[in-house]
Amino acid sequence: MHRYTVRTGLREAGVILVALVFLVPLLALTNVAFTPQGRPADALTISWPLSTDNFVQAWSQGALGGALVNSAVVAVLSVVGVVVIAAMASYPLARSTRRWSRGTFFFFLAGLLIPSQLGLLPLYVTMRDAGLLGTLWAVVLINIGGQLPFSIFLYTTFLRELPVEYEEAAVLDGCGPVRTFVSVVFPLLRAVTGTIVVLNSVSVWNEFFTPLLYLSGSGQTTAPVAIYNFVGQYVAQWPLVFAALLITILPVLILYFLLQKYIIRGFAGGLKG
Amino acid sequence: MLTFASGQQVAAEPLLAAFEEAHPEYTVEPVFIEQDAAYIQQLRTQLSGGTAPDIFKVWPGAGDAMAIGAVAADGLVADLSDEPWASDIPENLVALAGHEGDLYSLPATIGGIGAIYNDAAMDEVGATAPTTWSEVLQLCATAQEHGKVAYALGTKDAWTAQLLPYALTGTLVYGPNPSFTEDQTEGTASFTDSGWMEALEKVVEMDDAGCFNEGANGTAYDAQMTMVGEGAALGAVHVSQAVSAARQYAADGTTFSLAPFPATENPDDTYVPVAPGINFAMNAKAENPEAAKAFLAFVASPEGQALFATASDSSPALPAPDYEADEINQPLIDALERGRAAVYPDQTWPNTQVKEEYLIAMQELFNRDVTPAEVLQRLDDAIAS
Amino acid sequence: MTDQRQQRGDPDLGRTIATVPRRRSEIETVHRTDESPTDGRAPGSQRRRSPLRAPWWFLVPAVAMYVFVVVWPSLRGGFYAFTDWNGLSGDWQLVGFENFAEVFDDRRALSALKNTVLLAFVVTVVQNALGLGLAVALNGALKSRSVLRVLFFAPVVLTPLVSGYIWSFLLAPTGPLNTLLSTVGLESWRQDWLGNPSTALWAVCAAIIWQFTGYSMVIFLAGLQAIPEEINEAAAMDGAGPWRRFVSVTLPLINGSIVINVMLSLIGGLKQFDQVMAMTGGGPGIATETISTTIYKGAFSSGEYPVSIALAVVMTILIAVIASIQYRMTARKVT
Repeated sequence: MHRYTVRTGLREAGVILVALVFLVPLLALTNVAFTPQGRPADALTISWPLSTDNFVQAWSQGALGGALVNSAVVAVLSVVGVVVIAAMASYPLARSTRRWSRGTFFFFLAGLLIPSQLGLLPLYVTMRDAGLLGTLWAVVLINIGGQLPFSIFLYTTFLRELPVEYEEAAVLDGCGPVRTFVSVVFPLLRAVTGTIVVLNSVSVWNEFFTPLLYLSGSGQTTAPVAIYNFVGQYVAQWPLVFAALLITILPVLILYFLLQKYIIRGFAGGLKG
Repeated sequence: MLTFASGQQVAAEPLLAAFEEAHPEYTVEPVFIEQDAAYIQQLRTQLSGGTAPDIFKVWPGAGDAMAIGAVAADGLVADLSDEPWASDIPENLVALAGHEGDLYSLPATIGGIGAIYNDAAMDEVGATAPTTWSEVLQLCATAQEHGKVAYALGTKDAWTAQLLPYALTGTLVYGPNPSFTEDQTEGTASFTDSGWMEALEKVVEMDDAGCFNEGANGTAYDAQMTMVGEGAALGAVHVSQAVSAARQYAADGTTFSLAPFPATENPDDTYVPVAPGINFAMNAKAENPEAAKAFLAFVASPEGQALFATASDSSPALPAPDYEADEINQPLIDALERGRAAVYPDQTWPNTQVKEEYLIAMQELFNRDVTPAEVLQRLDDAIAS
Repeated sequence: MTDQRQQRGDPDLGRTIATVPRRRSEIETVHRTDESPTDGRAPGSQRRRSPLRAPWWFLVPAVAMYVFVVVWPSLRGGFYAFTDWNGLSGDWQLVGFENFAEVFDDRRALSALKNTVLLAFVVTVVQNALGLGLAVALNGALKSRSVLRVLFFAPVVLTPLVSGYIWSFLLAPTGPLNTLLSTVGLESWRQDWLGNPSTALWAVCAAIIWQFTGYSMVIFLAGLQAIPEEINEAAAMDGAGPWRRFVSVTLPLINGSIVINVMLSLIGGLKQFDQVMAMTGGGPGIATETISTTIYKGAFSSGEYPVSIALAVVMTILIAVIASIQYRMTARKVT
C-alpha cells in the first residue's frame, strides 16, 4: 500500500475539486427534485426547506413501485441469463484451437456494430408470432440476445488469460467437462462476472423503447417508461421527472458501490499485457 | 374491451371515464405515450405488425408519419364515412380527416395558432395586443425599453420553429386561398412565388427589430414558456395548447390571453390558423369494432365534445352547445364564426419531406445561414418529390 | 514468447499464483495478431499433453439467442434496403441499389457522416484520456476514493432524456455557463452553445464525454489494479521518474484495457443517438445530425423507410471497417 504523503493529500484535494465541477449537472438535478412544490424550481440554488413532495407524487402518480419491480425482474432475469449463456459460450471459444472458434468469436463481436433499427420490425413480427407480445419475457429475451456480444467479448478475453492447469487438474481428477466448467472455471471468472453484471444492469435498466413497445397494453411498465410519461408534448413536469429518476437510479448506483471490488478485480485478471 | 392509444393522459382520462360510465358494457384499456416521437414509432411498428389498438390518435392530413393520409393509404384504418356523426363535422375539417374523399378519422378537438400574452406583463409595459403589423413592431420596441422580450422563441425544439410563419401565412396565403396546396401539386403555385416569401421576410424583420430572445436556437420549448409564464417575455406565437406550459411556470393568479397575430395593416384581413388538435381513427382490424364505433360516437356527441375540449384546453370540433370557451379559446371560436379560420399548412402537405425540410430550414434561417428565398426553394423541391 | 513470471494476488483463491511460462503458447490472446494457433510457438515451450475438451455444445444457447434476436432480424431488416417498402404495409418491389445511391446523394446523410466520424474520434480521445487520468488518480491511497469512484460513475447511469435536459439548461443562452463567464469577466466568450452551428457539435461532445468518462475510468482502474506492486517499485528504484514509469511500464501493462476502451468508445461514438437526440434533436438545422439520428428520422418521422435502412447498412459496414482497423492497430502493439 502506498503511504499517504503530502503529495497524496494534494492529489486527493485535486480530484475532489474536479469531482465537484464534474458533479454540477447532478447537483442541478438534485436541487430541482427536492424543491418544494408550488415554488419555481431554480436548478442552481438550493431551495430550503428541502421537500420530498416531488418524490411522493412521482411515486404514486407514476406507479413507480410496480415499475421498479418490473425493472428489477427484467434486469435480474436478463443479467442472469446473459451471464450463464455468455460464460458457457466463451468456454469453447477461449479453449478451442480450431479455426472455427476464431470465426465464431468475430461473429459475435459483429453484434456490437449492428444498429437496432435494422432488425426492429422483423423482430417485432417474430415476437408477435411467438405470442410473446405484452410479456416481460419478450423484453428479457431481447435483452439477453442484445447483450451477448459485449459479454462474450469480455468473458472470452479473460478466459484466454486463465491458465489451463486448473482445468487439467480437474480432468485428471476425473471431472467431466461440465463439472470442470462449473466447479473450477466459472468460480475463477467471478471477477469478470461482477463487471458484466453491473455494466449490463445499467444498459438493461435504462432501456426505454423495447419495454415500451413490447409491454404496451399489458398494464405493466418499467422505470424509464414511467419516467418518460412525465414529459408530455406540451407540458413537462421536470421536478417529478428528476425525483422519479433519482429513485430509479439509486438501485444501480448501490449495486455498483457494492460490486466495485469485483469489477476492478474482474478486469485485473484478464487484461494484463 | 376497447384498446386505445394516445397521448395527453391528463386530458384523455376524464373522457374515457365518462365513456365507461355512459356505456357500462365496455371497459377501456388505454396506453398513453406522451412524446410524439415515441408514439409515432410505437404505432407504426404496431400497425406494421398488425397489433395496433382499436382506437388510436392520428394526425390530420398527410404531412406526418402518423397522419391519417399516410395511414389510410395502406388500408390500415376503417372507413368511417357512413357513421351517423360524419355529417356533423365542419366543412373545413372534413378533408383533413380523410383520404381521397373518404372519411377515416374523427376530429375530436381543435386548437389554433395565435399570440399568447401574459396579461400581467402586458399591463406592466402598458401595452395591448397588436392588431396590425406596425403595432407588432411597436410592441417589440416597447418590450425592449422595459428590458423584456416581446415574443419568446424556443426553436431548439424544432417543432416550435414552424409556428410563426404559419400564423403569418394564414393571413397571407391560406386564408384567401384555402386550396393553395392543391394548386402547388398541380403546378400552378409555388412557395417561392407566394405570400410565403413575405411571411419569411417579416420573420427576419422581427428578428432584426429585436423582437425575439437572443439565442433562440439554443432555447428549448420549456425555457420559452418559462419566459412567458414568468413575464420575462410578453408572449409567444404558439399553438393554443401551449398555454398549459406557461401556466405551469407562472405565479398563481397569472392570466393569459390569446390574440390573432396580424400580418398586415388591416385587422380584418387577419386569419387564424385553426386545426384539429387530435383525431381518432379506428383500426381496420379492430378486435372490437362495436366498442370502437360506440366510442367514436360518444366523442362526437355534444357532451363528449364539451367534456374533452375543456379537459384538453382546446375547443370542440363538432357542435357542442354546452361548451364554454375561455380567453384562450374564444378567439378561435370567433375566427371560425366570422369565416376567418385558415388551415395549418403542414396538414395539407402531401408528403412528410416538406415538413422535415421546413423545420431544418427554419432553424438555419434563425441563424442566418440561409435566406428566405433559399428556404422556399428547398420546400418547393420537397413538395415536388 | 512471453516468459514473464507474474505474481497475481487473488485473495479469492487464498494464495498467490505464479503463472506458468508456457500458458500463452496454445491460447490465442487479444494482443496477438490473428494467426493460426499452431504458429509461433517458441521452440522450447512445452506442448499440451492432453487436449482440453471444452464442449462445443456450450455455444448452442448463445448462438441460438443471438441469431434469433440479432442476426436473423437484422438480415431480414437489411433486406428491405433493396426494396421500396414504406415500413407500414402494402406492396413493395426490389429496387436494387437505388436506395444506397440516394444515401450518398443526400446532403444530409453526408453531413451526418462527417459529424459522426468527427464526434466519435473526439469523444474517444478525450474521454479515454480523462478516464485514464482519473483512474490513475483514484488508484492511489486516497481516503475518499470509493465514494469518488461512485460519483464519477454516476453520470453513466443517467438516461439521455435527463442529461439532455440538464445540459440544455446549463448551456442555455442565459443559462449558468454564460452567466458564469460574464461574472468572471469573460463576457466575450458567451455563446449560444447549442443553437450556434459552430459550437453545437462540440457542446454535444462535451456532454457525452462528461457522461461516459466514468465508464472508461472503471475499465482503466481494473487494468491498473492488476499491475503488481513489485514492478512499480522496481522501476522507481531504477531511478525512473513518475512520468517515465507511467509511459514505459504502466501503459504497456494496461494495453488490454486500452484496446477495449478505445474499441467501445469508438463504436459507441459512431452509433451515437440518444444524447444527441435529447440535447439538440440533430439541430440547429443539421449541424449535429449523426448517422443514427438520420436513420431514425427517416424510418419513423418522415416515412422514408428503405433509404434509412440502407443508411443503417452503410453505417454498420463503416463501423466494422473502422473498428477492425483500430483493433489491428492496437493489438499489434504488444507482441
